Amino acid sequence: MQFFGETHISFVAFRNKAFIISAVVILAGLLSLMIKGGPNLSIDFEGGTLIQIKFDEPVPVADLRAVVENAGYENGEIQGYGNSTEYLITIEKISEAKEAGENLMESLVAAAPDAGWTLVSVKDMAPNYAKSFEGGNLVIVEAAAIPDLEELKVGVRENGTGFVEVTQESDNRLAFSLPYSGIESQAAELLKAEISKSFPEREIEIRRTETVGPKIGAELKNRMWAAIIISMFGILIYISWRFEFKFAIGAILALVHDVLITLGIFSLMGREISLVVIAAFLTIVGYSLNDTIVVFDRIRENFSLRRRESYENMVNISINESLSRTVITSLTTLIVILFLYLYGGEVIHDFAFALLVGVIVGTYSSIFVASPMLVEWHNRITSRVKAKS
Amino acid sequence: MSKSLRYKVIIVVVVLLGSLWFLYPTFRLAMMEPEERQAMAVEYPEDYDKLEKKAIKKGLDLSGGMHIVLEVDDSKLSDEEKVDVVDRALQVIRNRVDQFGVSEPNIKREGSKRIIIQLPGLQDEARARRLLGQTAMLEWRLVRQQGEVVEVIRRLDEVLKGELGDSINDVIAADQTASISAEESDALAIQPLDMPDSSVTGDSLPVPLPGDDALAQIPVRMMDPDKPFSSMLTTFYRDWLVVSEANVAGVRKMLASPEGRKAIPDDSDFLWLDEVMDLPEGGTGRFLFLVANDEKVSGKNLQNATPASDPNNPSSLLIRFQFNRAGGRELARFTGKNLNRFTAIVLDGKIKSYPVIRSKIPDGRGVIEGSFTDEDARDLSVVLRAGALPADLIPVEERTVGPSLGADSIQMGSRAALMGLVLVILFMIVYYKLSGVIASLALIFNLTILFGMLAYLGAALTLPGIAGIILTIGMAIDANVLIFERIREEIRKGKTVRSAIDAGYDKAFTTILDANLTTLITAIVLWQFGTGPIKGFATTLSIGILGSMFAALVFSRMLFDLWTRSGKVKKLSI
Repeated sequence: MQFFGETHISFVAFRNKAFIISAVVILAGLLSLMIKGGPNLSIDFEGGTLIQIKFDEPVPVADLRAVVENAGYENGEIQGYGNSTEYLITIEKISEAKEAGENLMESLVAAAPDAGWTLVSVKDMAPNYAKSFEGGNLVIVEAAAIPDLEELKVGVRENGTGFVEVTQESDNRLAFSLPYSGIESQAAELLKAEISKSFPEREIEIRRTETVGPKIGAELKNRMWAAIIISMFGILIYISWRFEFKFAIGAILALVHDVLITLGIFSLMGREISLVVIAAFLTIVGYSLNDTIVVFDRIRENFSLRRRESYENMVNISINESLSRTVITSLTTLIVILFLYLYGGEVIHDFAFALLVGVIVGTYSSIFVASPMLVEWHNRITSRVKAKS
Repeated sequence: MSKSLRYKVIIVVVVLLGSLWFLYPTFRLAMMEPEERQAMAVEYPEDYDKLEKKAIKKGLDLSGGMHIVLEVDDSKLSDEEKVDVVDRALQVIRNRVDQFGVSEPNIKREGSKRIIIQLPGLQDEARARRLLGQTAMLEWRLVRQQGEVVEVIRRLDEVLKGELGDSINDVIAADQTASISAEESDALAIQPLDMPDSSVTGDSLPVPLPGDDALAQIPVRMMDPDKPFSSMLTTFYRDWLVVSEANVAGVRKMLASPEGRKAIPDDSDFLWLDEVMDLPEGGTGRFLFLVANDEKVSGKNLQNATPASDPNNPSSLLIRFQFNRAGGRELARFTGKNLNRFTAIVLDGKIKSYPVIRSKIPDGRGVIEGSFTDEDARDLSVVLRAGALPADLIPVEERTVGPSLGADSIQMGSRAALMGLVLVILFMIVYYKLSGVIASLALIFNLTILFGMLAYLGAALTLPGIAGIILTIGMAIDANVLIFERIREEIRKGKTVRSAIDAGYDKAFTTILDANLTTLITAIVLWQFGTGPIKGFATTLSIGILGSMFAALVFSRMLFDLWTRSGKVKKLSI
């Protein structure tokens, strides 16, 4: 059996149209990202709490929402999950500013009762690893008369509030920097208790809980950026070494193209970017590269075999020659990913979806973007050389 | 057979046998019914442990359980207190995790301030969180003397008589062949031993070493209905009881029963020594102490404890400790009153050590002697300082998966993988006919290597790991497709079967190498930067990539060579 015999499709001539199509899809995605203020990151990166809960019978989502809101989490999101009796409750970015302020005030009053303390403000300071700042709450307090600072430090700590540092802002103003105290985990506990109290007649099974503190979230974000940048560099170096620099640029552009489109589609569909989705993105990078390199390899081979052909023709022949392989491999990969998507379960759903989109886009880009990009690059350089002479 | 073909066959057979060898424990476990597994775990616990260790492990997302990352918050501590605070926290956590009853807890330190705890199969996460979050409690409690213990044992025998019946015997391990009859056991039941010579001078508390003298024979015991409690005990050793390992569960159950609790006086508790002891007559046992809860010194006031070399015996170590002023006063009163008595150092309800009080310690400064090794000394000094751990342990990340979700994930993941595998194989056979069969065999060979390597590396299989395997199924075919397409091209050019195969493999080689190595780069980066589940994905993907290269370049080549080597094959089925 054979899908393709010898083909002579002029993919390269199609490149301008392909570039326009890609540009439109990428722009649509970027626009959506801009409107929505960036990608929809999951609690893995934002910090927060997630509870997957299963009832023996369906319960009204509105009731569940009311419970979550009454527990004090107005920004809680509730969605049906998998079958109709299972729900996912997500609460992102749980602030502990209120508790931080109250705790510090209590300790201050206990340590120096006569100082006349008032709470001015509490600000949640996100972690910033570039400045090796671990994040926490900045609590500003005022006192009628500030007692000796060293004694106060000991007193506050002894009375149960730890802090990273304290600075004197002015004559009667102090700024305490308090570390995070892991409120997400308490939130999960509280929610579970509230839910079982509110649905006493239902049998409840907690299928999964995840809580991520803001610190870990910020760290994961950093790590993922590092992973993406380092793998890009690794690829750039490897391809430059095995092929030529312009091949590397073509490959990287195709990768960025694939990830941007997948990211855009995630944004357009309102899907969340979690840790496993990022892993899927990196896999797309690997897969798309695989495809691209197979074509590049043909180009390299034909470059020495068919010296008389124009660059454009040669690239086109190479794409045609490897077309059969490209399609078959994409097909087998798509088959398994489709099964993963359909039957792999909810937990892996987003991951499989990202791969599904990525493999389709990756196949398209290795035919229509990466190799034609080489031609474009080649043409511009040769025309520049001609213009100079 | 040509030389290179023979090498290929040898390599393939070795790799295949190696993979199957590593996979055997996994197979064996998977083939056993749950009851069989249970039976083996009871009858041959060592073999079973070995089997479980060598089988492919399930990650927390598949087995169900809790993954928690705690950060030591030292913002309340002075610089002095911050020293090795994480080590102390680790000690406290290890001590507590035992109470959760999970079979393979995994506790490790990460970075400078974090501790990762994995509790597979844990059900009650609220309790785990509570236990892990508590402030550590360390106490030095007086060990009750033999006479007092005998009184309590009599009372326990009295109240438990007829109350517990056969249920206790169920708890006693199945191995009763070693047990002795009730009449014989009567003679051994309570046997006082002499106090050791007190020849140590100064403000020191030597730790007696077990197993040095008159430990009686330690048989497994049957319960005597008339003396339900004492018949389970093996012997007295100084002021405490020795219970053989097989009877520990039974004794625990009796002590925890409502009647048992009533029989124990309010001012005392039965506590176990944390360590399992090798008994001189073979087997293992535990020490059970009756300790006071009214006469004690709180470890909260212990300021410092460090190993130091013993001036009297330079080859061994002792531990120097120092209490603060309030603790020192308490200690002076406690030691003055209880000369030559034993004291139990109790961390969160478990006895960590039991030195004897040699003399009054007036100023809170003393030493514990006991011919410690480096490690023992360090551990005990960490335990001692754990009581003064004012640092909070903050959960910065927690992931809990219920057992049913884990089971669902395995079922769904393996179903998706199986369906994908079958369809890919079908497709390959339809498209490439006999050569497709070779590619399918290569795929199965690759999966065998993949699982074999997982078992060999002891890597846990996670849900993303299964996804990696599924992806491998789809992508591993690629190398074969590349080769087959090349061979077809060569055949179209009119080459003979043998030379078409040779040329196809030669030309596809660099492509396969480049394409797979670049994918491997991203997989390795993922492994380096990913956390738990992502690492699982990167692991299976990396092994899958390497395995697929081997399967295509060596294994399928070997099959082609074997197939066509006679030269009789005139037309390749491809």
